Amino acid sequence: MPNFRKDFYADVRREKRYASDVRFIGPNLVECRESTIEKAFIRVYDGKMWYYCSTDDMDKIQDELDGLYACATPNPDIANDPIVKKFEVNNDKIFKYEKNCVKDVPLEKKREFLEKRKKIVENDEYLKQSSAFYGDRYSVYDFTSSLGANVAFDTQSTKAAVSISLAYGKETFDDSIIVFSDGFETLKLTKDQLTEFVENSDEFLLKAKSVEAGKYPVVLSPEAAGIFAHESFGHKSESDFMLGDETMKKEWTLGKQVASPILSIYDTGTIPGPGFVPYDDEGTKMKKTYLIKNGVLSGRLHSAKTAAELGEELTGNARAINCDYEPIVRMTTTLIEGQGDDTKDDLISRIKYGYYIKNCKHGSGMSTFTIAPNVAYRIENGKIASPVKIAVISGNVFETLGKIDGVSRAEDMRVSAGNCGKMEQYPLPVALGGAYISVSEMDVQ
Amino acid sequence: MEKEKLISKKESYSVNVTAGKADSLRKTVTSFTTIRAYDGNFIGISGGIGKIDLAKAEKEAEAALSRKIPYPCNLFGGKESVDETKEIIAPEKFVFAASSLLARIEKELPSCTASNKINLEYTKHEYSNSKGAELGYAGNNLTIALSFKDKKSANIMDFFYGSYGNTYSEDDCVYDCVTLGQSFLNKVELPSTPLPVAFATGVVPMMLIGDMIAENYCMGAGKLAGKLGQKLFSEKLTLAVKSGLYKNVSERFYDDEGVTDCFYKLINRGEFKGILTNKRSAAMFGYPLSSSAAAPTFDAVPSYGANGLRVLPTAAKATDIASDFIYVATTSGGDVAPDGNVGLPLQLAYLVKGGKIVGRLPEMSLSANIFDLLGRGYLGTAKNDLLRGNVDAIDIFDAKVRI
Repeated sequence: MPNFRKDFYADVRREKRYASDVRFIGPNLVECRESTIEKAFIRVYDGKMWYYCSTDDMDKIQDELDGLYACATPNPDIANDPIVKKFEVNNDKIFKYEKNCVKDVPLEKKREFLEKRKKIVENDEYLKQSSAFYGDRYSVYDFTSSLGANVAFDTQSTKAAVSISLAYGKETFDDSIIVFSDGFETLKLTKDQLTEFVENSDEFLLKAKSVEAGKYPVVLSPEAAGIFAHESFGHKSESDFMLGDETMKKEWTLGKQVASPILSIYDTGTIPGPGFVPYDDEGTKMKKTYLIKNGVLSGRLHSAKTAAELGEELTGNARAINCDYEPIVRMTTTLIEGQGDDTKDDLISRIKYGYYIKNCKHGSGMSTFTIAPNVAYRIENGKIASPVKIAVISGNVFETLGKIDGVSRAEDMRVSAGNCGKMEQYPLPVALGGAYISVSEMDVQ
Repeated sequence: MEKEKLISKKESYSVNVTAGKADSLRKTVTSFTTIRAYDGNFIGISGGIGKIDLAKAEKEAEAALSRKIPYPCNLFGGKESVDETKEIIAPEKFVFAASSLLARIEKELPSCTASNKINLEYTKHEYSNSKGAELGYAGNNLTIALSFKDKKSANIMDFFYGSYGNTYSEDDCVYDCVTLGQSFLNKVELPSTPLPVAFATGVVPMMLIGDMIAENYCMGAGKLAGKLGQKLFSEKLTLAVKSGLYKNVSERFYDDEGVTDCFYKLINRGEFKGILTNKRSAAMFGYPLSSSAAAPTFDAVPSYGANGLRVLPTAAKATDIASDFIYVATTSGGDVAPDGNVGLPLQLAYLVKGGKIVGRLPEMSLSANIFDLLGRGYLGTAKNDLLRGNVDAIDIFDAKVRI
C-alpha cells in the first residue's frame, strides 16, 4: 500500500496484463506470442491541477508518487473538493477468471484452435487469400486511493476471426467472421458457422450489384445499429466533451426528447466480454446507465471530474487503454435495448423497397454520421432479396434518431466486440450492438 | 545462431487542455527491449519492458524458436548514430509554455474554446545484431493537438489544429489557431466556378497503401494487382519512404528490422514502382526491402509501419500550385471501393482565395475514381503556407465536390 500524504488526493492503479496472439496469413504462421507486463499509473490532485506519472518499475511507485507530490501544492481543504467528494471508496476483491484463465491454456492449443478453423475456408474456389487471428487478454487490476479505496479484480477476453479475400474476374469481396467470449473454452467458431460464412460470401461476390443512390428505409443488424449508436450518439454522451461548455449543457438537457419514443440506449460495464469493467479506473463500481430512454435524453457517462462539474452521479465510465494513460470518459458495452415482440423478419416485412445492412467496415459520427456497409441486401416486398454493394449510408444524427420506426424484441439482442479510439487513446476494447432497428429513411449511396 | 537486440526509450510530458486551460501534467518514462533469435528458418522473440535480464531474454528468444514462425535470417552490419534532439521547450517550463499559448489563444479567439493535448516527447532507439550492426537514433518532437468549439455550438468539436515537429513558435501557433478559428466562424458560399481541392498530404494516396503491402499485392486481387511497373498516376506524383524529408520533424532513419532508409519509391513520377516489404515478405516474394518494418509490441513479429512514408513535394509552397482552392480540414468515414471509386464526406473545408483562408464552406462530399484523382487530377504537393506552424504539407487535386 503506498504511503499517501494528507492535503492531497492521490490514487495508484496497477495492471498486470497477460496477452497472447496467434495469426496466420494463408497457410503461413506469422505470429505466435504471449507476454505479461506490469505497469502502474499514479495520480495526485491538489484541487487545481492533476499530476500523473506512469511507471513500469513496481519498486519505484512510492518514489514516483513522492515526485508528483513535490510538483503539487498542499491543500488542507482537499477533502471538500467537489471532485474528491464524488469518488467512491470501495473495498472489494472480484476474481472471476482464476479457474479458467487463458494464461493457463498452452499457446499450442490456441494455435491448433485456429489452424483447424482456417482450413474450413481454404478450399473455396474463389479464395485469393485468407487470414486467421486468435487473441486473448487476462488482466489483474488493483486500485488504491488516499481516501481508503482498495479494490482488486480481474478481467478476461478472447477473440477469434477468420478473414477471406475473394475474387471472380474483376469482382472482389472481403469479409470477416469474428467471435468473442470471456474464456478459451467458451469461444465458439464452429464448422457450420464458417461454412455458412463462406457460402454467403461467395453469393455476395457473384451476385452483388451496386445500388441506385437515394433515400430508402433501412433495417440495421445489431452490429450495424451498434456502430451507429456508438459513433453517432455514444461519444456525445461522454461528458468530458461538455466541461466548461454552457451551450452543450443547454443543448443536452436531461429530459429532452431526442429520438423516437421506441428507442432506448444504455451503457453498462456489467456484461462479460471486452466491455466488462467491474470497477472503472477511478475505483467506481460498474453500473447500467440509460443514455436515452423511450426517446428521452436520460443520462450521460461520467468520470469523477465530469460528474462533479455537472452535478450528476458517477457511472463507472472512467477508463484508460492501459497504465500509460490517465482515465477519461469512455463507453463500455453500449446497446440499443430490444423491446416489444417484433423479430428481425417483422421489421423487414414492413418495407416494400429498402435495404438490410448485415455488417459494416467502419463508421464515424459527427453531426452527420457515416457507416460503410460491407454485406448488405435489398429488401423487396417485405423480404430479403439480392445482395447489394453500398459504399456508404449517412445522415444527420438527430434526424435519423427521430426516424427509427422499429426495434426488435429483447431476445434478439446481439453483442459485437469493437475497438474504440478517442483522441490519443486507441484501441480501447468495447462492446456494442443490441436490437435490430428499422429506420424510415437513410441516405444510401 | 544470429540475434538482434532493439532498445527503445521514451520520455514524454503531456498537458491536458480542458475548456482552454491546462488542467493536468502527465510524465511517462518507458523503455522496452526486444531480443530476436534466428536459426535460419524460424524466428524467436522475447524481451520486456523496463529493466530486464538480458541473458534470460536471450534464452527465452531461443526457446521461442520452437513455435516455428517462419522468418528468414537476413541481418547485415553497419554503424550509424544520429542525435536530432533539440531544445524545443524545457520540460520544467512545459506547463508554463502550454498555459501561455492557451491564454493567448483564448484572448485572441474569445468565441472558441480549446481542449485536448499538448505533448513533448523524447525518444531514443538502439539496434544491434550479431553481424556487428550498431544503429542509434535520438530525437524529440512537440505535438499540439487542439480541438476547438465555437462557444455557441452544440457539437463535440468544430475544428481542429494539429502541429508536429522539433521546433516551436508560440506566435506561429497562435496565428494558426486564430486564422482557422476566424475562418471557421465566417461561413461562405461554395463558388460556382470549380476550384481545386486540397487535403493534408497523404490522405488520398494512403487509400491505396493496403494494396501496396506485399502480401496483399501478391495475392493478385487488389486494385493494383499485376500493375507494378505501369504508369498509373500523374508524372508529378512520387510516393516514397524518405525519413528526414522535413528537417523540422525528428524521425528515425531505420525501421524495426534495422533496415536503413534508402529512399525507396513506391510511386516514382507516376510509375507504380515498388511495394512495401519487411524481411519476411521480401524473401517470400522476391522484392527489395522498403525499410517499412514495424513491430506493434516489443515481442511481436515485425509487420508494417508508415515511418517516413511521404508524398514528395512538387513546389516550394502550396500557393505556388494554386492561390484559390478548397482546403479540406476534416474528412471522416470515407472509403474506396474495389473498383477504385472513392466516396469522401468533407465535414469541414475552408475556402482559400488569393492564398489566404477566408471562410468555412458548407459540408460537402467528393466522389471520384482514385486513379483519376492521383492521375490527371493530381496538381501537386507543397508546404502548407496558409499556416505558419509545423503543419502537414498539402496535396492539391483537380476534383469536383458537391453539397
